[in-house]
Amino acid sequence: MQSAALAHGKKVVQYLNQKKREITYTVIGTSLATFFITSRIATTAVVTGQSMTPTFNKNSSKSRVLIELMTPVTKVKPNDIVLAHDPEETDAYIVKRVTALAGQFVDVDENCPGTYVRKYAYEGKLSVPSGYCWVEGDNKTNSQDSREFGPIPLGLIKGRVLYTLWS
Amino acid sequence: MWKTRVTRFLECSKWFVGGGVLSILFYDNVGYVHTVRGKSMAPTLNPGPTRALLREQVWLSKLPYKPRVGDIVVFRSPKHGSKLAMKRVAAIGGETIVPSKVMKSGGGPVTMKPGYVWVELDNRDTAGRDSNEYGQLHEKMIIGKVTWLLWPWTRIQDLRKTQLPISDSMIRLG
Repeated sequence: MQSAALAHGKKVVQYLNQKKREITYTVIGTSLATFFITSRIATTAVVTGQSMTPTFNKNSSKSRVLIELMTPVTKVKPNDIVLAHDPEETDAYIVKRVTALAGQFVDVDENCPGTYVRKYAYEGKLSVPSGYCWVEGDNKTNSQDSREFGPIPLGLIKGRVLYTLWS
Repeated sequence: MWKTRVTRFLECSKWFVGGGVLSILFYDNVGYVHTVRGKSMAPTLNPGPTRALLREQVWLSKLPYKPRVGDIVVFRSPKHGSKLAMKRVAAIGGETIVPSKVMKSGGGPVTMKPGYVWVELDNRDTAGRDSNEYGQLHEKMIIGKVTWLLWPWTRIQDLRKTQLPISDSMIRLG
């Protein structure tokens, strides 16, 4: 009778160990899959500030948005909203709308020209050099964008912002 | 009958998918073998002919790091967003240098903005593009650091020990 109980006990331990292994594999697998998806396919981010109102943060101070990371930078088009590395602060990001691509011209905004625009505009226009793009926030009066720091290289763009998940 | 076939197919495919995901994660975060195109980094890299199979191969490390002067880095080209370039870091944020082109054609010293680096090619005889043409490079354009020369085997070496060529064409002011 004792040995039957012992055999049963061993089976229970084996079963629990197997379950522990399965759970560990699932956790590791899910973590890797999540990391893969959020680094290559799509991720979310929190947009703060008022530079993109009314598109984002019209009634709030921050919103969480969905970002897709799969578009190659050569397929970025005007009017896309992009997430890019901040040209002025290495570890920060900016969310702005692409308004002009390389080879296109930007019209000077008479109301709010920025440092870069004032310095380099010629006859009311600016050209965007090869490999760069011009980005502006939708809220023209309250946005640090290409009008301030000039066009940004396409290589700084991480992905395109698709839509707001919640704010 | 087909149900078991489908189940078995799914069972097998999970290994392929898992392997693929792990490979891509390794490629993105650890490193891979990268082909050296062009002669802009000669004689350290590609001192010989650069037709297809003769090009040298290096290990491009994608582990997180901060650029240091003398590192050979691979970065997204500021002139062509989708292409990669390979040059050497000549100055990092906060430093002031008199770059090569200024030595030749006038102008003043350049101070690196924080978060930007100056990259130059090793081989002054080539018509290559570097910071002399496109200015300071944002650190986040750098995708990795070249650590080892792997092919041809006869030239295997730790490239981290190589340095900026001693040149009369660039002065570091500190």
